[in-house]
Amino acid sequence: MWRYIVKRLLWLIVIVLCVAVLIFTVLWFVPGDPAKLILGTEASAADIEALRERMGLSDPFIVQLGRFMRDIFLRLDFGTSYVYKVPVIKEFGIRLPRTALLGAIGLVLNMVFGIPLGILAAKHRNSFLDRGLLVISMIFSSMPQFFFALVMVALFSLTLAWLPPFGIDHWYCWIMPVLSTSLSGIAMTARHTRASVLETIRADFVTTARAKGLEERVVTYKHMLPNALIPVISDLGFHLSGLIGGSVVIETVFSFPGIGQYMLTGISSRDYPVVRGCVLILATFSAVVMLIVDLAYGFVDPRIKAQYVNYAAKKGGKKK
Amino acid sequence: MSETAVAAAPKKRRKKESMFKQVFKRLSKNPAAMTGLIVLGIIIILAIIGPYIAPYDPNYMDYANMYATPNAQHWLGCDQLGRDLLSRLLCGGKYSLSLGIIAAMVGLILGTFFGCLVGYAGKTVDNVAMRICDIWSAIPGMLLAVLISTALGTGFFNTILAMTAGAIPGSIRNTRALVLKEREMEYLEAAKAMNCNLFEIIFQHMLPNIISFKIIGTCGNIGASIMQASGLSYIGLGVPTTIPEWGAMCASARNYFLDYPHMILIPGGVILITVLCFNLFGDGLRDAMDPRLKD
Repeated sequence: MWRYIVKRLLWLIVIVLCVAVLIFTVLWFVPGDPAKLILGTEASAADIEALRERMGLSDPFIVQLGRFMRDIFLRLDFGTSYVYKVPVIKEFGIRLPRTALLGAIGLVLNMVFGIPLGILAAKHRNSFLDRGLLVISMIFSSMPQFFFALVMVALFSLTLAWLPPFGIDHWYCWIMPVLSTSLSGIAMTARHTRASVLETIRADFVTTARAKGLEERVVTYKHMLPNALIPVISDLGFHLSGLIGGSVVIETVFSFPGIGQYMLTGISSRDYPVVRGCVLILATFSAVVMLIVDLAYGFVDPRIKAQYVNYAAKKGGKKK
Repeated sequence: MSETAVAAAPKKRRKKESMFKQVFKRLSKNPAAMTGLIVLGIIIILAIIGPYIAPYDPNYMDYANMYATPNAQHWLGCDQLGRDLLSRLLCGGKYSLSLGIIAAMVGLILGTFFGCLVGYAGKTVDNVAMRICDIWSAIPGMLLAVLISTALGTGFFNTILAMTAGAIPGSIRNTRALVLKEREMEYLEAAKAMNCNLFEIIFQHMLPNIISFKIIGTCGNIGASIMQASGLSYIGLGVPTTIPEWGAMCASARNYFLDYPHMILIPGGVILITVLCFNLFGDGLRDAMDPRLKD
């Protein structure tokens, strides 16, 4: 198992490095001259040329890429914002915890509500409850996130005046951002859980368990659910990636000062160190959480562990 | 032995011919899917004939009616520039729908093409391609779309490209999984024995057997693409707000939402209904193709 973890960690490093190269390369093609942006429109051509030279903007692509990678991975230096003149990493220190918390709460809510609702629907299949849950989850998973966020603002801030439409100072300011990033994921998880449970109910091992004379409760919790939930849990990584992407939009709607909003202000002011840093940090965050989910999944599902152990044994045998 | 084979052959063929009919029969018994299909049909027709039946010019600015809420003259009200929302919705439908459909189709075609090649080639090619997909999908789809729109700029086709980029690795993976199941089948060996070349084997023999699974998934993908495109437009990185695409309509009304919520609730509601219909129909189609899940 340890070898598996080490292997996955090494692979994570490769992924992050490649993502960094990818981000740098894509943004390399963006038109616009950072030196002009920093000095403003009135700067003389000579000044701009001098700054370009100092910033190394005239160097060939590969040299700049090398410098970018060195700065980020050896010195943890994401550069300085062209517009605010503040090191990007400083902003990350303040903003990343907020976005990470938003994503983490979303993921927890996803499991805490999505899975039980799905099980409930499957257990009472074709009942009024099941139909209702299906319809509601269908509607929620078809709703653009910004639209749901705005509907909530219209309802809870404008009409009822219960919740503030922006801000993060109080815990209740977080309710709407959290709900709007996570509800579509909860709806999807509930639907997935329902389908997976319904498929497992018919499995042979469930019939065997019943035939052994086990109590229905034991059959459900010990035999059926652990198997039904495996595909649902493995989908959590996918949901996280949706949450991270969604947070970009939701943070704009609620003026939520997280990484996503920082990135968008960076994009609109062509502040590329900010954009590069934000995309890289969000991608890294999602890759790390996905790795944790994967490893946890490997621990929970004995089949994956066994697969790996066999594989390792075979490999070891060959080497000898 | 040979007799049974002869007897079995026509039976099988008859069954195969009626598959489409069977699916449709099952689908027509599913009220949710049929509702989705019918409403979707209406939306598509409206999007096509929309520009001809729109009561006003979608870009005509009527300064007397700025911020008008729904009334008898302007059924759905007007936006901050006095443009009639109903006309804009009718004229913008073709952008929103084609955005979703093209993005999903490009994802389907490219994903299926590469997925087939990679899955069939196997071994090193498969390994390398899967690792590339891992890296590719490490960037969340929305983030990749944001990155690409930043690089290319906003616009209709750039938005399609941005959304497709995030969808391809998933589609490749999904196709590859289907191909791996199909690879061991005997008909492929037969095709090989008939001296078919690689492309004939993959695209003439194998592809028809997996394409139906891919098409089912695409229906839901169209809805997801429309949803994602509207999100992208909303944050100002999709279709520019001069085009009456539904997401862009929401985006252009962004700053006026607190005072005039109808300017966003109406186009947003239309997006919701459209995506819902695609999802209902897609789910119904999946159930109809795979009756094991139903019953």
